[in-house]
Order: sequence, then C-alpha cells, then structure tokens
Amino acid sequence: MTKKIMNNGYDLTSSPIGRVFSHYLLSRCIPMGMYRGGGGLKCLLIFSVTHYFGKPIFWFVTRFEPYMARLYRLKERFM
Amino acid sequence: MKIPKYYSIAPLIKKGKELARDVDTVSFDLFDTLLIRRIHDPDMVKLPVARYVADMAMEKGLNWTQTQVQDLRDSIEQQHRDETGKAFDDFEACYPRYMQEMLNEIFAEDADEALFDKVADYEVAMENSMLVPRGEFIDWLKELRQQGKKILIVSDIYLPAIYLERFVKHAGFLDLVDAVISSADTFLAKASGKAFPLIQKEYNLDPNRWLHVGDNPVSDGLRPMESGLQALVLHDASEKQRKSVIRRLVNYSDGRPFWRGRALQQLMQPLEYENRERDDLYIEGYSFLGPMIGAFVQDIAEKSRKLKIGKVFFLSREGWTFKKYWDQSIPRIFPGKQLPDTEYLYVSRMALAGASCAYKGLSQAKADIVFLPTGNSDFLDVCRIFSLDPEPFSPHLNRHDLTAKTVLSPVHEGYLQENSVRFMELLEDERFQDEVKRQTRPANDALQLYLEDIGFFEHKDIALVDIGWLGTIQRFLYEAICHREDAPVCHGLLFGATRGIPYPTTTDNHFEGIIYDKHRFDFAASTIMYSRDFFEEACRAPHPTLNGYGLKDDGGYELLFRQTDDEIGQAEKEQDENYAPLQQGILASAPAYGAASALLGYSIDDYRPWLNYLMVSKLAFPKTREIYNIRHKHHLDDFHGAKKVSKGQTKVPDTLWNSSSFSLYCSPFLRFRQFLRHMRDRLNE
Repeated sequence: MTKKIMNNGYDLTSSPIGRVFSHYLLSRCIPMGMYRGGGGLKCLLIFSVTHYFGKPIFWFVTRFEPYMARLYRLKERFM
Repeated sequence: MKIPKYYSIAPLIKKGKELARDVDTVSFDLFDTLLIRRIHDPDMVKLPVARYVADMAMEKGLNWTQTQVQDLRDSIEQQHRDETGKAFDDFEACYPRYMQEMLNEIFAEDADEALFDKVADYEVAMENSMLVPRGEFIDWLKELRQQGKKILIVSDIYLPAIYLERFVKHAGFLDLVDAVISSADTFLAKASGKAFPLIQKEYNLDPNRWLHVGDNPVSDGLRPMESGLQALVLHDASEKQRKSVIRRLVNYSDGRPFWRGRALQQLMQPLEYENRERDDLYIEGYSFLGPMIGAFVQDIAEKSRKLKIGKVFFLSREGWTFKKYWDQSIPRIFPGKQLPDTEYLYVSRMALAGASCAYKGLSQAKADIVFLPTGNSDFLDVCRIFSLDPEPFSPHLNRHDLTAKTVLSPVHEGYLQENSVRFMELLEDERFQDEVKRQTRPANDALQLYLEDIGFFEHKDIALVDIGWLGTIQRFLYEAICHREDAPVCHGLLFGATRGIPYPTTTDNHFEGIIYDKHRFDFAASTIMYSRDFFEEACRAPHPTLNGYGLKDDGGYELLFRQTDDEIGQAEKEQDENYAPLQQGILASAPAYGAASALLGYSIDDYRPWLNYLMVSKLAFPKTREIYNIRHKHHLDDFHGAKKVSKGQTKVPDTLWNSSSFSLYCSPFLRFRQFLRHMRDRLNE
C-alpha cells in the first residue's frame, strides 16, 4: 500500500493529530510516561481544527482578509 | 487599480497561460512564488548561522553567544538599511557588506575572505535545505521556455543575485531562466517600483508585452501595473494553512516541550513534488524511526564533544545505519564544531566471544550469557558460542563429572542443580582455563591486528555505538583488549540499554542507553522492549554477520563472514528485501533531520517527549495494520541454539507483536491489557 508522508491537511500520515489527541485522552486515564506536560488540550484542539478544517477556514480567511483583519482588530480591542 | 489576485496556483497559471500568449517576457518573484520555505519565518534561517558564527568564535577563544551574534547582525543590517534609505527610495541592505562588517567586529583581523565565504556557504546551505520549488510553477516555466519567452526572476532581498542563482540552481531550474535580479545589487527594489524601469532598460523590454507574477500585492501587483506591466498576484490559501501549522508548532514549542519533536517532524516533511506516494514501510522509516535515530546520533555527537571522544566506532551491523545517518545529518547540525572521527567496526557477539577469552579465560558472567537464550543447554553450546573445539575439553569435563552434553540450563529437561555447581568448579579450574585461552588466542591476535589497522588504539577515549541491549559486544570487546596498555577508555552509547545482566562498569569501560536506559526510569521509552528485534532488523546492514577473526599465513588477519547460502542466510536476505523501503525511508530522513534540527537548535531532551509519544503510540498501541506492515518476518540470532525447552517451561507469554490476527482484531482491550502487564513488569524490575 502507498500513501504520502504528509497528507492534504499538512499532517503526518503516520501520526495524525487525531491519534495524538486520542493518546492524550488515554494518558489522562492511565500513566503513559514522561511527556513533559503533554500536548495540552487547547493546543490539540487548535491543531485539530487547523489540520482537519483548515482548507475551508483558510479559503474563507484569504478571500475576506481585509474584513477578517478588521474583526481581528476589534477582538484585540475588546478581548 | 484592481490587482488580479488568485487564491491557488491552478487558476493563476491558467490565467497566466492566457496572458502569456501576448507577451515576450514573464518575470517571477522568487520567494513564496517559485520557491517556498519549509519554515514560516525566513528570519529563523538566520539563527543557525548565528550559532555557527558563535561556535567558530568560541573555537577561537572569543566569547560570543548565538543571541549576541544575531543582535549584532540585526543592528548592522538595520544601519545599512537606514544608510541606503538616505540615497534611495528603498531601505535595502546587501548581505556581503553587512556580514563582512559583522565578522570584522567579532573576529577582528581573522575576519578574512575565507571566513566570510565559509559563513556565506553555510547560510546558503541552510537556505537551500529550507527551500522547495513549487512544482506547478516549474512545469509552467518549462512550457514558457519551450515557447521562447524571456524569463526573469526578480526579488527584493538582502542577498545579491549570485546567491539567488545558487538557490535556483539547487532547486534545479536555473537553465529555465534568462536572468536573476536582486534588489541587493542596485538598491532599486520592486517595493518602490524602481526596479521595473531599470530592468526594462537593461534588458530592452516592452512593458506592454511583459507579465509579472508574485505574491506581494504591492511589490508584485500594484508597482508593476503602475509601470505598465500586466501582473498576477498569488494569495495562496493552502500555503497560509501550511505556514499556520508550522508557526503554531514552533510557537507552542516554547511553552510546551511536547511539540518540539512534532515541529521537527513538520520541518522534515516533504513538500510539493517531494511528497510522492510511498510504501507504508518507507513512511514508517521516514516518520517513526528516522527522527529517533536522528535524535540518537545527535546526542552521540553532543556527548562525544563533552567527553572529548577522539573517535566514534559504529558497531556492526546496526551501526551501519547509524553511521550513514550521522554522515548525512550531523555535519549540518554542528557545522562550526570539531567532530570526532567515525569508523564502522566489524564485530559481532559470536566473533568477539572467543577472542574475549584469550587473556581472561571463560568467566561465570560470560557463561551465564550463553544460557540466557532458551535454545542453549549444554557445554556444546558454550563451545559453539566461544568458538571452542569441545574435544580437548573432555579430560577437564571428566575431572568434574561433566560431559559435553550435561544439561546446564534450568529450563531444559535433565537439568540438576549440581550440574551448575560442577560447571562453576570447572570454570575455576586453571587447566580448563588454560585450554580456553590456548584455543581462543589466534582469534584475539587477529582481532588486535584488525583494531590496530583501523586506528582503534590511537585515541585515549572512544565511543562504541550499538543498538543495545545488554552491552554484550562491548563487554567482549573490552575484555579482549583491556590487557593492553594503550587500550582506550570505552564509552558505550546504546540506542536502548535493557541491562538484562549486570555489566562490569568501570571508569574505563561503561555504557549508557540514549533512547532508553533501564537505570534511568522512563516508562514511555521502555515500550522499546515491545519489539526489540524490529529495531535490530530495521537498522541492520545489508551484509552477513561476522563469524570471527582469522590469522592468515602471511601474518595478517581476515574477517570471516557468515555464509549466506544456507536457510538462515536466505531468510535474512528475504528480510532485507522486505525492509528495504523501511531503510530507504530512514536514510532519506537524515538530511531533512539535520537541516530541521539545526534550524530549531534543539537537542534530544527537547525531542524526548515527542519520541516517547511515538514509541508508546507505535509500539504499545499500534494499529493492527501497522503491526502487519512493520512486523519482521525473520530474525537471525546465532547466539540462540536449537535445543527445545522442557514442557513445563515452554509457555512463553504472548506479546502484542507476536499475537495472531484473530487476537489483534478480536481480543478485547488487548493493547490495554498488554500495556498494564508491561507496566507491572517494569515496576517489578
């Protein structure tokens, strides 16, 4: 069987983020060893979104970049 | 003025092809258009260069850190930009000028042209390792070339055109372009629009028949259109996604070390046309074993410098892969540092076992090693492993009421406790030991000749690099040479040290495990024990094992390799063929590892959390398909005899990696149960 080393979501084919996430959840239940703090839930969620839903998100963001920039500035001002 | 923007390459090229029919010249931006960088931030490529300069300064006794060098570079570059801004519209800088100034400040009179060339060559090499040509653009360039169009590359950057040509040449399309133009040569850049009239004049171009393609809406869109050119701007959504991934990995790595290894792997990933369909085993070699071996050899290089090791010996046969990995990755990671010499050493447990007895005789510890594998049961197995002729030992055995076939292993039928006692007495018998030494002396003499030949005794401290696990090869090797006054201090560096039997550690002879060491409790790394044979087979050299060292009639020595025409030899050959893609994947990852690790500046301690995750996930919780793919078919172990163990001892516990397909698919919580058992075993050790 053949595959590409990097998949379409710019993730590792052999260790995709979903697998890292499930491993993280398992490591919450049983001790797995030394991961120096592990991946962190927030980081894992962001990477999951970026890898799995990045295509439509970045399609939208690049097309509406000026509007997104305005929204981002608003967010920075109030949050 | 409406700038034509395209959000992916395909529609841009389609439009470009339409427009190209009516133009004579097509110019391209270089970075983020024809070439993309693996890293999101181009300035990160400057960091290893700063480290390189700092290392060279340290070697010359000058106290400069990487940060100080980088700060100096930034400040001098900014000064140059400010100076240029007084006379030109663009605030450009020229690399050779400000870099030479920086080197003058650091190295004073030692900052000659040769030093500058060294630094510049390294910077170009680092850039080249991070740059990838965009496949679809290169295909279009070829078409344009065939149509006879004039093709120019125009870039706003601090590097003069001669350096850009080196990037283009390395990317493999210099023959497709007519000229490479950089703002660093003229200080007239695309950003102000001054570059376009200059190029028009120099190459006598008609602006109406000139198309420019780039990624910057101002420099590559607005400015060329103001000069009367047609322009296409690429605003690539997928590139934004890719850069977003690597940017986050690098940023998160600061606070969460877990992501450092993942960032390394992201930088190692093949892009564009490099990312072809590959065999599953190739992918495992590239993405699983490659980074682990990379971290292993990188740590060996760091330890070698710390311990002032003169030469690193990679022990056959797994050392073959380690050495190849070292050759292709380590010079990139430590360019400014003095690295030890390296050598591949032909050794094996079987070849060294006999030679190790020539001066010290056959010790109890060595005899114990024989009976670790359950296939060995009697003195004949001892003779097979230590290359002894059993016949001359008959009187010695008789003196202690033993025969060559007396069962000495407790797991075999017919074993009696007193057999072991008698065997211990035999080992204390001087006449027996004299016979052992007599028989093994020629092998030892031949071994010493071989070691002298390859400069083994020329260094005070040497490293012996092997896959693992008990340090038996190092034990035998050291015992074979420790009688010599010029015997070096042997620092063993193993991939994994399981330490099944106690090792006679001294200051002159010791070892440690790099990825896993039983003495350094690391539960995640201990999952390496799930499938040790896999690591051995994956790294094994494609040559037969060494059976011994022989003396030739002319006084020289010869290496005696195992025959390959028997059943075991054929099985090994079959295994080699099976794992060929795996090894290709491992070795293909070496240059990528070197470049990525040099750029990130991390060491094994930074990568360890991710490597631990890889091991636990791949070895303890693998997918069934992965076990099928990775599991080896044959594993040669000459140490292991062919004797059958007694019925009560036959039950060998099932392991995940030798489970049947039915168990792997249907046994509930199989991996979880195995993992708990592994945990219990480690805690009870």
